[in-house]
Amino acid sequence: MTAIVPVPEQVRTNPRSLHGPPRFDVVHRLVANRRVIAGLVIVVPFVALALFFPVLPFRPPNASSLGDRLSSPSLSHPFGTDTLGRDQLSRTVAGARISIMVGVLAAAISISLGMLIGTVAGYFGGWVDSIVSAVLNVFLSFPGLLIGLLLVAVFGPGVWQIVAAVSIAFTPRAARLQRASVLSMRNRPYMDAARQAAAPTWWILLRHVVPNTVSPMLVVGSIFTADAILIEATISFTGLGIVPPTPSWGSIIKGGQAVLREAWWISLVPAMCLIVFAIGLHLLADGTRQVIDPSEQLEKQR
Amino acid sequence: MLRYTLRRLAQLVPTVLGLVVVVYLVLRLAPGDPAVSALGENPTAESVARLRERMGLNQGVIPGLLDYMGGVLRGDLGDSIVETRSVSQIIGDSLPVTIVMASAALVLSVMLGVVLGAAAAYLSSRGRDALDHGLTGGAIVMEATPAFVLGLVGLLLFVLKLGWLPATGIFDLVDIGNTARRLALPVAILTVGSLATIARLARTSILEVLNEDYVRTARSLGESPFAALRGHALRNALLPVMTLSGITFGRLLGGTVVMELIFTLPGMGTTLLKTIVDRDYPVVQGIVLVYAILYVLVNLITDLLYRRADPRVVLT
Amino acid sequence: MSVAPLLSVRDLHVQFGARRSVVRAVNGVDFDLAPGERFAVVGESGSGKSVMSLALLRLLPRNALIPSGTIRLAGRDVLSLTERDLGRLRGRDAAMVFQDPMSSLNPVLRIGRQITAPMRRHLGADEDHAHARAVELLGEVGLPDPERAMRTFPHELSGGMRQRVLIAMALSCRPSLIIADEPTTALDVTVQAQIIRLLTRLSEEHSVAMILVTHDLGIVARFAQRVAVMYGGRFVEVGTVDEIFYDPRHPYTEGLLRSIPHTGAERTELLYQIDGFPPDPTSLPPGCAFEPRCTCSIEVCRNQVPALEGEEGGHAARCWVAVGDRVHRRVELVR
Repeated sequence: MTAIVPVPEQVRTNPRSLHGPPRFDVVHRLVANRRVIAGLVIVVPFVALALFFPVLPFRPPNASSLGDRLSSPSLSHPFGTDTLGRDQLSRTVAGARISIMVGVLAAAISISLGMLIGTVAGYFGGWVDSIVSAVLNVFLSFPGLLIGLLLVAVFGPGVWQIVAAVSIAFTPRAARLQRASVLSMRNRPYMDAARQAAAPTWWILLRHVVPNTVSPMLVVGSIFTADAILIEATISFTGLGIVPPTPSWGSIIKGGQAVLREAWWISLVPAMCLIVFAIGLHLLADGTRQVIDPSEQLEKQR
Repeated sequence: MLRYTLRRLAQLVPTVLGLVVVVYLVLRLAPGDPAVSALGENPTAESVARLRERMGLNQGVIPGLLDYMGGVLRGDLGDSIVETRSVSQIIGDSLPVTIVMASAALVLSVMLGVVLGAAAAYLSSRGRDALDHGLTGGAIVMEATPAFVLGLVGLLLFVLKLGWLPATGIFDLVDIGNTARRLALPVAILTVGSLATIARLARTSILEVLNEDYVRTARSLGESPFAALRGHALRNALLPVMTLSGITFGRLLGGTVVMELIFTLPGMGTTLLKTIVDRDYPVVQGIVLVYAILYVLVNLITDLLYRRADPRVVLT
Repeated sequence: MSVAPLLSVRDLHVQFGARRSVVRAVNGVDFDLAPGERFAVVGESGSGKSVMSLALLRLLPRNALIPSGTIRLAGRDVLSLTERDLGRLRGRDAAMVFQDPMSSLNPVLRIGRQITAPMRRHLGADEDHAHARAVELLGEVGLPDPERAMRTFPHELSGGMRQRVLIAMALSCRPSLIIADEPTTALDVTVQAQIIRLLTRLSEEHSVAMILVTHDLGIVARFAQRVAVMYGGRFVEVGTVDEIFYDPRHPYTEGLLRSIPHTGAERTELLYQIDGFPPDPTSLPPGCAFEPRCTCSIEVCRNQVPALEGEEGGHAARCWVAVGDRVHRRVELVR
């Protein structure tokens, strides 16, 4: 589920230290990249809708109207209604709000924690690294979904619970990526120079290590968000995690399963949203990776 | 090679113990009292105390952990607190279905994936990229589609609308015909989900290998393109595919849980979900452990196969 | 030629790309090769020598095009062979040895398997016979303990040893021609001499004709009977090794010879080099390709490609200006 992120190899000197941040150029190239644009075209509307949902003229997502149960898509209910007559369009957007929030939060938390752990393990090496790596390897021996289910079993149902569960489930992956990233940087000449200048460890970490490992993590962040949303949907679909009436894409899909034959749109519409949004995030990640990975640039010039 | 194999097998033990630690601690250190949750509404203090004793919750965390570890090494995973059976029995009953499904899906994805990838590589080398584009598009969509969505679509299409395959009813593993019909769709869905990614990797590896100098040497000595593909490209190109297979199996295991749910199959996934709801913690513990062990085992096998195929790798 | 030539190349052209910029790598190469003859093709990078050698067995990449020319090997027209016949030709009538021994062997297969493969395919040899002959060949090319070598993997051998294995593979089906494209470039200097000596000896003992493509004039002297100097995709001078070394007729050949560092030179003597750079194969000059760098060129050199003039089948050079008429001057290089 997680893409293998290449670490930029060509940075011989720390670009931030010597030349000042080349950010301007990067932003320009980012915006010009086709995949990034395609990704943004998909992601931004979803996020905007989700963000501004409360102030937009949607029907209340939990308002049931039993007379209208299971109606197929129509002008008044563009996505139809479910078994309790609730408007599917507004529920889907409300679900987007929750699902996206869960995804972004879980990705952010797991990456932050992962960067912390990975940096410590990668930079200090020795027995610290051995212990941390051993623990990480054990966690990574569990299939992702199963750790999520285990944690949700323990935490119980609810939005915050699932955020916690997914965050914990993804942290080892982020930690391992960060560790690899740090390991590859540890022996660069500018690191030796900093160490020889007797720079304090925390300074080296903050000023050199972290900034240079951030860019690959951006790509990872997008992918993790997509994966987190998918895992949340799966877990909610099993009936754990986020349960009705709280709308999340997963729980809405589950709700539609019982009436799949008669009213398949109830499940399939949020499912389509899920897939499209995830594709958008992957495109974003792929495009960003093309821009920030210098070896990819060389490939293009050939 | 033999030494490496033995060493890896020996490494299994600490790995499994590590898994045990994680599983035990997660459930033990969770907030709330498992005994209370398990007993449902308004349990008497007495029944709670009895259950706590049975579950070994009155010991400290470490003694409890060591106890459990010892049990695992003996094959004793404890007893269910909801049913009268032992955890091992419960798992034993539901294990076969899951294993059959997951293995079938893995084998099919790899075999079909390699064939598709080889075809795409061959066509691409002749300038016809259509299959490659199809695979890329397919992979993008499949990686963004969770297994349960594919399962629902399959359910809708093949069971509910077309009625081709059954989705419910008694499932008896020994009845091959029935098993095949019940498992065909879930296995197919799981396969489709992983196929495109494997095919793309196979294609890329094969194309890379075809451009290698040693293939040029073989061609210069008269080897036909097809023989070169079979003798050189496939062998070398399969190495990354092997690595990917191990990872794919993890995804597939997760997939079987939802497949069992959607298609009502009596496997470990169904049992897991039920016991989570019932708060039957010893069973939950055991099942998650077994899933992890399966994953570790399959990765071990793929790793050994890889090392056997690639003599360059130093067997540290 | 008194004996029918083993290989006969006429007016060979090879180019890459078709749209905007066509790379003209080989621009009209003619030569004959007698059976058992050792022929060296010398040139800088970009002279087209490697491309020409690959073209002989049609081992060029997909984007290469042979717009004109003929290649006759052992009486057959190579350029019109079917894929199947080509597969029969390669390895059996002619074989190649390539530049980079490090990557020319499959890393995951044992040497024995790789070296017996052509024999099983072309000669129908069974496993045991092929194995025995392979051991014999490995001994001939100078591998110590050939029996053991059969079971090793490529990464267990040094570069020089791998190249010997590749030479043994090329010899295995008794071809009448071996084409070696810079076989020593990737090797240590001491090993280079050994490999060249090996090739010379094998050519003599087995009467195998050889084409050695190289940029290094030094190894040519020991090995070759005839030499062609290549520049800008054409042969600019052809002759016996003595004629080329002692009586060079083309300014480029003269320049190459002068560039060879020699012991006994004064310490302060600068190394000679020919000024300028090889021509851009996407935009070759209309006249002589060497003209921009030539110190004795005249007007016609800029406009017309000189023909290869000289004794029939003997010493010939592609230059408008006769050796005796050359007036050397300083060259203004246009950047």
